[in-house]
Amino acid sequence: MLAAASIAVVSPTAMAQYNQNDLILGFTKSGAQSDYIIDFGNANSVVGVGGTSVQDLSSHVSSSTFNATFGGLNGVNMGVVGGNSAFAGRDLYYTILRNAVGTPSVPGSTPAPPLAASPMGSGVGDIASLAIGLSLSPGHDTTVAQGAGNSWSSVISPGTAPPSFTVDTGIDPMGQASGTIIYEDLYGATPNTAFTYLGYFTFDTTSQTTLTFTPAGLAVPEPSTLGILAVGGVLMLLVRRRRANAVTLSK
Amino acid sequence: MKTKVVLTSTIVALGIVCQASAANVVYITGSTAFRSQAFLAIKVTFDGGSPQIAARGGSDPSGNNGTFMLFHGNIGGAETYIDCFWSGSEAGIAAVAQPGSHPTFFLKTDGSVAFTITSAGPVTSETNAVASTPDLALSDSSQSVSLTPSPALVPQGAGSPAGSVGIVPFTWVKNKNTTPSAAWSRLTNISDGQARVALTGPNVAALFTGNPADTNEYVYVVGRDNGSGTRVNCLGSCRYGITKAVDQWFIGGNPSDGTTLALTEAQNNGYSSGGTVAKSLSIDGSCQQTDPNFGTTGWIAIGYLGIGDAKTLLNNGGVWITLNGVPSTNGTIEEGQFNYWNYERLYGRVGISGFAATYGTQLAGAIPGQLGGSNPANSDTGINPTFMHAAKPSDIGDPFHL
Repeated sequence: MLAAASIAVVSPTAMAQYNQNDLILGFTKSGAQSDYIIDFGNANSVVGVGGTSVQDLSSHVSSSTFNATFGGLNGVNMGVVGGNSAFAGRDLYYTILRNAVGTPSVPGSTPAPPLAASPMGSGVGDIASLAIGLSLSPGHDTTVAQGAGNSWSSVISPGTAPPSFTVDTGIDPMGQASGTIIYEDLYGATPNTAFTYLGYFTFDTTSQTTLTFTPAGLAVPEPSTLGILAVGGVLMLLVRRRRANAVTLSK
Repeated sequence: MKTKVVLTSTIVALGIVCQASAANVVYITGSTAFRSQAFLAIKVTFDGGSPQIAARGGSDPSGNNGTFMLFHGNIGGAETYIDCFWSGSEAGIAAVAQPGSHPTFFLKTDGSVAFTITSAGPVTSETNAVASTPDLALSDSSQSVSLTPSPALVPQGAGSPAGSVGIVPFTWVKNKNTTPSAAWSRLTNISDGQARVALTGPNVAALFTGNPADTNEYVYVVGRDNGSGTRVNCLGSCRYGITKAVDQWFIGGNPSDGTTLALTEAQNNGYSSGGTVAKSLSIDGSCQQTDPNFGTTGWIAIGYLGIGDAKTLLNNGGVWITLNGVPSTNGTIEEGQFNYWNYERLYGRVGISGFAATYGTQLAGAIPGQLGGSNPANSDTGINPTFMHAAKPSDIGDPFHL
């Protein structure tokens, strides 16, 4: 009946919402004034989780903002989190530092043990709180004073005062870079199930700033396929050279 | 002669029209938990204390819990309309602070709305087609912890903390079950820690009862949407996190029809009024129904309410439960034992002036006298600050004794 009265009071948070299963990247550094936070958007459609090709996410990162905030990658902590807090479909994504590049299908880290529904829901609630508190939306980034109550450092990690992601889940998604490149494995799980390795992020500031996600299911050509491709390439080169010679002679 | 009569009549008529259009109108929005206290205070601000009243969308015959209220009479000898739409504290602050982003539609003040009291909501023709900017908002929490912390609103009155006009208490409750299960009967208390876990989704009753046998029935939280101050104070006082997403549930749809025992997930959403939460929790029989999520027999619903709505639920078969072992009473709040309460604030819009500003001051002064308190065993909808022997340092701070 109230609906019939044409009541239109918009939710106060209508403009700042966390979409379930969006992934959010956070950079922090001890001693830095600010955290740098990026909302990628959906884990599958934007980041490429579950895909078969490397996803270039470089356009999401502002190298000028990153460098102005941290002055370089060395010593910077990086982590990615996301999930779904709804009881039906609840899940959680988080990252762990990857030891070496290795093979894309093989994790370079060991995941946390399975998580029950309540701490998982609480952790995703913290992620939503971060997004709302910073008015984040997919495809946008922001910096926030590290000491602020709505910063990554406060709400996600280290987040020593509850409510925070690390306190509520027992999981710290951050890894620290010790050079100009950092790799981080991404894991995902539903309540009370083992975390599954989904691929890894590569953040490289060696020459220019690039960020990619390599899915665990990356399509890698078989050795026999590579051989066929090589032979085919040589044949094409030979044909091309013969044609070129034929044209020269005809002149 | 005829011409003179026509001219005179026209002038008189114009005068009446001018007089009618010159009536003062003050628009008020905000807290649903405090609406019955606001109702009493607004009444006494009118000359003689007996204005004409129209109320829509409330169950009480007096009109004191309507979602829409319209008061008409004289204040200081001047014709005045006080027009209220109680949408929740957060929604109220947003509507006053950012009216363009949060349009609010009140009952019409053109004389077309009948001064009657009905439980049904207003019909379309009774509300303004164009949004009005509210002048005042009552909020169960401070603007600083709200989802709309800026621009800074104007605290009304001389209360401390700024803008405070009284104490607004809340309580946790559980749903009606005329044939209760053992687990439902044993669920008589919730702690802050248990509340934090409960707000993330269903949990077995054993978490709350401490009885290892209570693992077949799950406990679900029925609560408010993010326009609610009752929700802000619930999430704040138990330290869950005011903006942190919750996993709540509806019973009987949204809005609840009050009869259909159907449990559905609201996720981070919730009901838009405490009255609807109370209505949903008054639906009987969950202990005998198959849990739609786990397939076990029986489930339990708990919720959080302002005292007015909690009393309505109590009258309809619901039960209040204690928080941290402490019941919500005047005495436990006045002495600082119970922590789920806050200061009720009255805010004016940015740049408030003229009659609206004068009325804001008048209303802020009138509210405390309409509040309860001091009788320790009672649970009043609002407590006069003069009875408080405890204070809170902030919206989420613990009470301490003065």
